[in-house]
Formats: sequence, C-alpha cells, structure tokens
Amino acid sequence: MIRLGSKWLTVLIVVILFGGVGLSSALGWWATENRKVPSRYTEGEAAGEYNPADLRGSYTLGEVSDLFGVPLPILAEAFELPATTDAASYQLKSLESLYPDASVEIGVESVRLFVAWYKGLPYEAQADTYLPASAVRILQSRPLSSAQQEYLASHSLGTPASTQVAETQQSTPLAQATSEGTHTPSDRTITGKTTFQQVLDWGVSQAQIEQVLGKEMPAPTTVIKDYATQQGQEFSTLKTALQALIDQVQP
Amino acid sequence: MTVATLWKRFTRRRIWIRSLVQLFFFVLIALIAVNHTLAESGQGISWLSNASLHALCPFGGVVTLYQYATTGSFVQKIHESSFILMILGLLLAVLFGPVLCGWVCPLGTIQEWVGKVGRKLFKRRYNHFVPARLDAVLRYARYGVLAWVVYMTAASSTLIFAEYDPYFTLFNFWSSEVAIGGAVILGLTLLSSLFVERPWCKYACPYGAVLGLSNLFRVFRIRRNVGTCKLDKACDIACPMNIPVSQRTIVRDVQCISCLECTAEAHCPVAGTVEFVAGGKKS
Repeated sequence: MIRLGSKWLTVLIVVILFGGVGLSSALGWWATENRKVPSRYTEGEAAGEYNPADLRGSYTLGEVSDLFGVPLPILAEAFELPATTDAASYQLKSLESLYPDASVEIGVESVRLFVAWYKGLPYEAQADTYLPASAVRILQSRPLSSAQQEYLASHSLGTPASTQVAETQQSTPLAQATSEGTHTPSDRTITGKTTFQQVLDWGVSQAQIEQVLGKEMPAPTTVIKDYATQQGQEFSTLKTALQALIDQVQP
Repeated sequence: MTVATLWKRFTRRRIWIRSLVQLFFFVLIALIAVNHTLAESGQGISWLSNASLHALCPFGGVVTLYQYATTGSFVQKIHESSFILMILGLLLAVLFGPVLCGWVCPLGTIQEWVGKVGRKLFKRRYNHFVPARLDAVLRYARYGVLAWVVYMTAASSTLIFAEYDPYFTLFNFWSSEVAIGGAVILGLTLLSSLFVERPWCKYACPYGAVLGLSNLFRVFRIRRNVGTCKLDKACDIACPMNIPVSQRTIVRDVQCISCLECTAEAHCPVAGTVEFVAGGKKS
C-alpha cells in the first residue's frame, strides 16, 4: 500500500501539469493560438495537399498565398482589395465588411472556392457561394470543367462599393451591378441582408433558430449578418447552420 | 503575534500547501489573462504567456471532442493547448481524482475564499443550509449542464458556454468579451458561496461532472480505517463537498475533489485512520 501526503501530491500535480506542458511544447504540440496550417486532403489525386476547405477567417491573404502558392497580387486582384490596403496582412474575415451592401456574401467561403479552383484542387462549391467579378475573370482563364464554368457564370458579383469609392471616387451601388447581368440569389437563400424574420417566414421555427444561436433570438427584424458581427461569430458559419434548416423545410 | 505563531496557526490542522498551490494558480491565470489584454494593444509582458483563457481551459478540450472526431478541427477559440490540458487533467484524475478541482481551479479557489467569510458568519451552520433532499437532487444538475454544453457546442460549432462561464467572466470582467449571462452566474456563485461551500462545483460545473467520475476508479483514493476510527465525524465536518466520509470505507463519491481535508494530515484526529492511499486491501 502506498500512502500519499499533501506535499508529494503537490509535487506530482506540478510535475505532471508543467512537465506535460513542457513536453508537449518540446514536441511542437503545444499551441495557444491558431497554427495557421490547414488540414490536408487524405485521399484522391490531391492527397497530401493542403485543403482550402480548412481556411479560417483568421488567415491573412499573405498566409493563403504562402500556403497554397497563389500569388498575392492575384488574390488582391481577385477580391478587389483597395490599392491602399496591405493585402499580405488582410484577414479573410474582413472580406465581409469590404462588401457591406452586397446582396450575397463574399467571405471566407469565396476564398476557399477561389483558391481550390485556381490550384485545380477538388472542392464542392456551395450553391450560395459567390465570387467578385474579377475573381471569376481570373478563374475563367484557368483550366476548368464545363460544370465549373457554368457555376462561375451564375455566381459572379460586381465590384465592391468601397473599392469603387477608393479608386474612382464614384459610388455605384452593388445592387445595380448585380441587376445588370449577374446572378441574384434565389428566394430562401440567406444573404448579407437577410433578417431573422425572413428565416421565420421561410418556415423555420424560432425554437430551431434559437437552437443554432444557443440563446434567445434577437428582434426578428435584426439582420443576421449584423447579429453575427455583434456576437463576434463568423457570418458564414451561422449562415450555413441556418441555411441547412431552411433547406429542410419544403417551400 | 510572531511570524512563527502565525505560520503555526496557518499550517495547523489543514492542508496548508493546498492553499499555496491554489493561490499560485489563481495568480498565474490572472496574470496571463491581464497579459492577454495588454498584448492585444501591443503592451504585453514578453516573458509571460499571453494565451487566451479559452486556450488554457481543459474543458475546452472536452467540448471540442465531437467536432475533432468528426472533422479533425477544433471549435473556434479552442486550440491544441486545451486538448493537452484536458489529457493532463484526465491523467491526474485517473491517478488522484479531481485534483484539478480541489487544488488548481481558480474558480474553486475564489469560492473557498468567499466561503471563509461565510464560515465566520454562520459558524457550524455554514454549508448546511440546503435541505438534504433538495441537495441530493441538485447534485445531478451538473450532468444536465454538461449534456447541454456538449450538445450545443456540437450543434453550433461555437463555444456557446463562454457566454455563461463564470470562470471566463472572472478573468475577463474588464473586457468587452464578457456576456451578461456569465456576469450574473458569477455573481450568484460568489453570493451563494457565503452560504454553501463551492456551490458552482457541487451543482453546476460541467467539467467537475466529468472529472468527478474518476472517483469511481482512481488509483489513489481516500480510505477510512474502520478499526481505528473514533466515529467523531471530524472528516464529515471538514469535507467541503458534504460527503459523509465517516460512513465510507473507500470514498467513491463523484463529488470528492481530493482536497485531503478529511485525512489524518488535516482534520481526522487519529493517525492512519483516513488516508490517501493506493493499493492494499480492497473494500
């Protein structure tokens, strides 16, 4: 029988906790912030390559460029960053604010799609993922399948208003650009302007919404994107969860 | 009063080294939390970790388990460090029971500190306000909290509990990240600590619910020697979690936090009667 007193217990607690942290640090396992290393494809022709689907809002365009070998000027051009912006340190989650008036969302999901197709990596595009017109132009110069070409033709957006202001000192509403030949999202699709009331109108119950939010739903007139920003959440994550509920409801 | 007398009083009949360990971890976590805020404005202390509190919370590892198993990624704000701390916490629990609760957790520590005021105010009534029958039912509540947190985190892929977590609030009350829910729960926890010892741990802590299960199979356990026990119930009175140690041979109660206050090293008056042991005779 082994008796253990408080002093030895103290020693063992300290050794196990700090020893464990020290050992994991030495092995390179200890990380208290995002490592900025996406997961890799585990099967198929791209096995072993970084998977753009694992890109997060905290990644910068510079990191995306380094990881995936997409030239930084191409990324900056594709997402129409204002010339005064430092593209290398521009975080993907900031893209949503670059297109505040867009009727569809340009964000992390758009970068994932762009990078994957630019590099010829397998990636299943979601129906509600859109790209700026310049990103579409760049991709159309790459070897794409006819299905991908078709997708791009219907998922293109105009130039962000902020860029236009910065570069041409004119403010052309995005909605106008969208209505002039590019795609408008169908009904029952969450966009940057969708309110909780619209989700309710599409047949999702308040209880279901609150389950996704993990708390009480705000006023129905609240714009979902604004709510996500206030709560410090990624709009794209919230949108995906709510859109799944909408898709389950028969129109 | 001399320093020697003060020290003697401090070290008499209690596990004084536990108080030091608790103070150490409380100060360490507080300093890291402050440094995290300073680092965001470029004024952090370089030799001290500026990790976020989420990164240093072993419960973060528990709530991200489902997402990690299904997608290979962590829930937002949770990193490898939470996972490693979870494993170390489980290792400690398997060996010694929930020592993270009794010796390390700063939220447990601050409840004990407030509880000292309550003990002064209410003497022996302290920690005996909740009727036994109600108390027995409430003790299951933390499993409900655990199930809710794990489910909601898996369903939403976000750290839902952060908005209600009194531990997060305790070390972030100065930041805009604190939610009103967390502040209310922390306030209620500290207020309740005046009447009940460690109320959050007893009734609501989801991580304590996980670690408490280790009491069923841990290597080192609290054992009472029936032959030498005087049945004076000193161990029952000392137990912060109200476990009737004097009615047990081996303490397997899931609420035990391995504080050792019931042992002969602290409150049990007979040497070798209540001990923290491994191996030997099984009950």
